[in-house]
Amino acid sequence: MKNMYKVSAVVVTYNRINWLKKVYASLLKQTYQLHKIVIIDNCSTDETQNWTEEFDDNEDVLVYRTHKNLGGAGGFSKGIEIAMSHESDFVWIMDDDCLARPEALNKLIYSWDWFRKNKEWVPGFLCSLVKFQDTDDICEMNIPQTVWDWPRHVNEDFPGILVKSCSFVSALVPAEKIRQVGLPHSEYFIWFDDAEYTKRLSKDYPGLLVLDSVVEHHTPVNRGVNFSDVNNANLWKFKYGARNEASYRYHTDGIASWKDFVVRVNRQMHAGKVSFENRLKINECMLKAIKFNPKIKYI
Amino acid sequence: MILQQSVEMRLPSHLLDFEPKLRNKIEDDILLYDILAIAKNVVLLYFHEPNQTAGVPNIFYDNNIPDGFFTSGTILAHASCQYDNEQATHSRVYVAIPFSEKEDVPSGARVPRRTKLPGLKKYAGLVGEKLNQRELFEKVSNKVHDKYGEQDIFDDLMAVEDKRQKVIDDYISDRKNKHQHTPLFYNGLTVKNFSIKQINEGDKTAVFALHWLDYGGAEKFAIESMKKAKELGYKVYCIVDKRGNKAYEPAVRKIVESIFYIADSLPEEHWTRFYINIFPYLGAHLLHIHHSISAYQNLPKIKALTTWPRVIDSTHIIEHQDGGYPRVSGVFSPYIDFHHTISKELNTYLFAELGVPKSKIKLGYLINQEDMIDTDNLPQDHTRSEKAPFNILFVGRFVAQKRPYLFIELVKQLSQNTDKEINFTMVGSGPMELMCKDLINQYGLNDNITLLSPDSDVERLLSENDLLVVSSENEGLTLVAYEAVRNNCLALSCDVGAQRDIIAEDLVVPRHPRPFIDESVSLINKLINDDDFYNKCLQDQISKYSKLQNKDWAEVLEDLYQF
Repeated sequence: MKNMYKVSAVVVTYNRINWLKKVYASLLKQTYQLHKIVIIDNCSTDETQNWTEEFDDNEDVLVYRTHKNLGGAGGFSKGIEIAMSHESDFVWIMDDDCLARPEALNKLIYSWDWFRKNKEWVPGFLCSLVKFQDTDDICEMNIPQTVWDWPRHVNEDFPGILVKSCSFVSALVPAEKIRQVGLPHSEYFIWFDDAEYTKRLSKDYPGLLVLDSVVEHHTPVNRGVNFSDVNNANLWKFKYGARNEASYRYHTDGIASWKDFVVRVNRQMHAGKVSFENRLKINECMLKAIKFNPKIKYI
Repeated sequence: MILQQSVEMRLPSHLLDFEPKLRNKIEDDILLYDILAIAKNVVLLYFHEPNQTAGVPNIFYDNNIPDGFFTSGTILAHASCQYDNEQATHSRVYVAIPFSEKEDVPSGARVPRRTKLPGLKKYAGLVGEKLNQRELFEKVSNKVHDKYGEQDIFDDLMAVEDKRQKVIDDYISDRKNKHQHTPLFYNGLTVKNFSIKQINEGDKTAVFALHWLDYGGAEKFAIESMKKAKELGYKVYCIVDKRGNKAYEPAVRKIVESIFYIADSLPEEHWTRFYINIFPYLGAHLLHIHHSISAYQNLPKIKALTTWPRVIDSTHIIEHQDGGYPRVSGVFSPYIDFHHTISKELNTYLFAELGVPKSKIKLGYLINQEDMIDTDNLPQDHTRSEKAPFNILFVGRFVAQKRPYLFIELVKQLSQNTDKEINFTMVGSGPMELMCKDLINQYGLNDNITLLSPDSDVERLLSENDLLVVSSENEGLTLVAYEAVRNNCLALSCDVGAQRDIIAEDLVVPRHPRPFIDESVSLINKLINDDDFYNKCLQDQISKYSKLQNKDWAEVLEDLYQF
């Protein structure tokens, strides 16, 4: 089964050289051999550049150092583009603190094959079950959103459930789909780029969460995204999150969905006793989202 | 094979100096038409064409010469040749070839187009520049006109420049959508159908395809590479596919056997035939392309019909709008055996954007043997007496790409924002010279800026100055930065091309005009006041240079030429 498909991994990194080394090692340990490993160095200021220079003559590891920090969104968009220009059949997207267990990719590919042979549709994408660090707990921030008929295909041969979006922590995307729907919005910079993109991918048919493909996400704390947590230090991130999701809702789902989102965010901020000033800034971003509607870039 | 040839030449007195040049050209053309193998008898007619861009070469078959053939000029020379060409399809052809004593493009050829922007109307040089970047300037001029009406462009130079850079941003982000970035399909299928006699049997022969022989870094390097090939025992031939000033011709003549100016001597519909024939005819085993579109375009045919030449190309600068030659090179990559690049940025562009295998890309920085320095011996610090003025230098042609006007804007801002004495020197000339002089007058900077001609001793100037500023909107890896390091002068540059490969990390500033000015002003103030910061940057710059020295082009090409 090895090398039946050319799968290229895309890792976006920023100032986390130690984790990047571990991620690279985990990719080499995959039982399903990778075609290329694309590392997007988001203009790191630590030792990343020195370490990645080792790959200058390595045909299988493609390092792209950006001239400025493009954010996760810009990095993934660029990485997918590079992987696609190297004749990949699949692009496997992950963060620089995501350690894939050795069978992770193999299981994803198995599920893809099973689904393709037994069903008349193909999934928009496939994703792994994300555990919090090396524990058995599920990682709160990476729980995919299921569709209403999520258990439709589950059986003893196939441990996959249907989802409509996932995060860029082990997402496997078929090249054909990328050509069809384009690249992630690099303008999003950070947050919601993964949800928007996977929703776009699952327009024809939902994605698959493959339960026996497991990856570890080494975030410092296991907590989901909630606007009640907004403070001065993390405001910049939440601002992007609010703008991006509000923009998606307004321009894709319509004004009612945008309004629901605005109300929900304000309720969460109220519950979290977020300062008035920060609430104002978040609301400003959600208003700006009406005008913010990036164009899809196709390959 | 040439069986017989006779040349007759009668030049008017004012053209007598051009006799050797014309004679060389005739010799090259006789060989060119032998390679083309179009007829057994070829009569080459050279007519005087004062406007070089107007005359085009023409072939007339079998005595079918039209009336009024010579009306455009006087015949200066003719050559009759008899070839032993079995493949020739015609018994006799006449070839009319223009010969101009002026090599540069006549000024009349650049007719300025109408523009709404008053600043562009006023400055002829800038209009010339506009022709180079027509679309860009048109877009900007229309937008700016809407805002400023009939006001002078200088009223808000920064606004104009800001808009230009935003248009460039759009170009860069749209580049992949608008211009093909997918390599062509090549399956290695070949047709073996050649039985042309070789004239260089037993010799190693190389063909170099160039854009033109006018002044330029890429052309200079092409000549160096030809020298290298000759040193390695190659007989060298050169194809040039654009008209223009032939400034480097004397230098090239010393190296090569023949120069084929195909744009001057061969109608375009025969270029492919020429490219296909030249390899078997010369027995050439090497083709090195230096920015030659005609060579790229003919690669699929060359590879299909003549399998043996090793094809190498060298690329220098990624154009914002369409990727320029590196993109073309990437698209034709399946037909190219090795890509020589002059910076890491180009390597990344080729493998990341165009999917070229890394094993085919060879990085060789443009450092010549005589430019190699022992970086350990360079002074690692730079002490100025507190009272001494700080000296800042700009070196470059006065064209939009180099943005001399932005340097003048920087001088203005620096003069307003510092109490230290700073001397500014600008070295260069070009179409924007008049505009820059006016701008200096308008800003009242005549006492601050010394203007010097481009033939000044740049190496000496660099050693006398404290800082070199590169304000270009696009560069490959600018050679003046190399010179700066060798002369212990610090360089500050826009973050364009591969400038990061040589410029100290802290002295790389954004391309957009406002951030460029703001960051440059604060950095220069810091450099003036903080010697430790200056020395830290200097050490960073030296260590980057020593890294580049380890990958010089000569070694790379030596490997590629020997096979």
